[in-house]
Amino acid sequence: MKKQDDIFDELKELKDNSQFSVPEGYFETFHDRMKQRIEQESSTQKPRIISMLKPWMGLAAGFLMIVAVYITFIPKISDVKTAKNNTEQTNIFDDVINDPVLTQFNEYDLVCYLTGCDQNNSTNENLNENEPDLTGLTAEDIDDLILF
Amino acid sequence: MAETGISDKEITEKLKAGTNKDAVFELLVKKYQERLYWHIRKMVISHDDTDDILQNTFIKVWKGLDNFRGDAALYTWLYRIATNETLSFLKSREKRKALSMDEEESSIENKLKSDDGFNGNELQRKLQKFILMLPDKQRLIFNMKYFDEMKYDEIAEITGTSTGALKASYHHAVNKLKAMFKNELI
Repeated sequence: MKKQDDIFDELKELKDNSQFSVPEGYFETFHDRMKQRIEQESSTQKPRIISMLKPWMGLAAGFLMIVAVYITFIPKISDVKTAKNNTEQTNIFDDVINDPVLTQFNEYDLVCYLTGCDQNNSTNENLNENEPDLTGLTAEDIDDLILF
Repeated sequence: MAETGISDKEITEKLKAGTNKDAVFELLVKKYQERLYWHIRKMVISHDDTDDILQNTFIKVWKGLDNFRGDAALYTWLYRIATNETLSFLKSREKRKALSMDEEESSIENKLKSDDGFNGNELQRKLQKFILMLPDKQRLIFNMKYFDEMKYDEIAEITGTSTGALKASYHHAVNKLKAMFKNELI
C-alpha cells in the first residue's frame, strides 16, 4: 500500500489542467461569442423593459388624461362662475349707487359714517346744547357774561 | 491562450475614468476567461456546462460593470460571480437529478467519461472521482486551495466564509480523500 502523503505528492505534479480537453480555438473565439450573446441579450431585453414598463405607462397615461381633462374643462367652469359672480357684484354695486337715500350723502358723510365721526358730531351737538347760544349778542352782552 | 498583461488596478482605473465599456469588458474577458473557465470546469467537469456557466458569469459581469466601483478587488468580484453561478448550476442539477429516474445519467463515473473531455491518467481520474464525491461547497474549497493554490483570505472573500471555517472544511476534505484512497489501495 502506498502511503497517503505519497499519493498527494504524486498528485501535486498532476495539478495542471491537461487532464481536461478543451475544443480547439475555444478561448480565442470566446470574446466574440460573448459579444454576440450580449447583443442578443440586449435585443431581447428591450421588449422586456417595455413590457415591464407597460402598466406604469398606462398609469401615467391615465394620470395625464385626468390632468388634461382638468386643464381643459375646470377653467371653463370656473370662468362661468366668475362671470356670474362679477355680474351679481356689478348689479349690487349699481343698486347701491342708484339708491335714492344714499345719493343724498356726499363723500364727507360717507367717510364720517365709516370712521364714526358722526358720533363725534353728535357729541359736539350735545356739547353745543349745554353752551349758551351766542349768536345775536352785542359786545356789551359778552362783557356782561364774562364778568358774571 | 495569451492573457493580457494589464493589471486589475489599470482596468479598475479605466472603468472609473469612463473608458468605453466594450473595451474594458474585452480586457476583462481576455484576462480572466481561462482562469474562470478552469475554476468552473473542475466543479462541473463537462465542457458544455462550463461554457454555459462561464457565459452567464460574463453576462453578469457585463451587467454589473456600470456599478462596479472597485470597492472589492476585481479578481475577487469575478471569482465570486463565477462561484455563485457554478453553485447555482450544481444545485439545479441536483434537483433535476432527484427528479430523474435515470441513475446512469447522474453517476459520477459517467461525468468523467471521455466524451466529457476528461482524458487524465488513472490516478487523476480517481482523484477527480473522489473529489466529485465531496459536497459541492467542500469540493469548491478543496479545488481553490489545492489546485488554484489560493490563500484562505482570498477564498474567504470569494465565498463569504470565515478563514477558520475554510481551514476546517479543507482539512476535512483532505482527510476524506485520503480515506478514499486508502480504501481503494488496500
